[in-house]
Amino acid sequence: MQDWLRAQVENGFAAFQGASLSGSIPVKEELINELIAGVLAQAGRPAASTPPFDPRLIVPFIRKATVHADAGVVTLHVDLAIEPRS
Amino acid sequence: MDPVNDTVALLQREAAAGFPHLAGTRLKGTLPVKEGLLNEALRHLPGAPSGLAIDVLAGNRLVARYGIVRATAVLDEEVRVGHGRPQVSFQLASTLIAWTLSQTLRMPAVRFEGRRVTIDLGALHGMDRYRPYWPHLQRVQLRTTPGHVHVDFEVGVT
Repeated sequence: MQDWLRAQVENGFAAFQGASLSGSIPVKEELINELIAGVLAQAGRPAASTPPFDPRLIVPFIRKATVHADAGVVTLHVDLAIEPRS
Repeated sequence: MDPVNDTVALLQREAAAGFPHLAGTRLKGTLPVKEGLLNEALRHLPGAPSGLAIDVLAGNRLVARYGIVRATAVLDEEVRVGHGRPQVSFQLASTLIAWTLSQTLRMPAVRFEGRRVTIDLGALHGMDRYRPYWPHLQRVQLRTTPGHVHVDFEVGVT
């Protein structure tokens, strides 16, 4: 699934032209800390055989993104759209 | 660090546990599915007759082609969710074709009631891996334009 998703991102989500997604994702601090721990654990290790993902590839699809921090939770509000190609 | 791999792995762990760290998530969206993708999925579906293909027309109408046979069907707008696995239903225009299909298409995921056909998506080959996600589907609606099925969905993690 990772390979498929990576391929979709890298070809500009060609199979999903016209898709949209919006909403809120409250992420508890435990999960954020788990993510940070994962990043730190991998720091300094040899690079994987596949090239690293370039986050800039998804920027064109973000119409709006904001975060709101509360006690123990960071809520991400997102509005994404993959515009149909003409 | 690879954000794609890490995010997928994290989502899989969260899904297996019922999304305990993402409670309160509310998402809605639309996913247009191309006719070609549907037919590709059909070709890989165990039990589906080889050579069966679907044309997607406007107004939730589908035409299934198998050899010289053409079967027209109207897809239900609403997908049944909230009871475990999502179920898609459609009504065939021809009683004769519905009867013939019911006698030839032996798939546990497909149920015939007269001209009405219901497909239990969760019972299809390879779909069981998505079981942790089904309870969080709150609404799924289908609408068609020529060559596309548009899936409108709402997801909520309680």
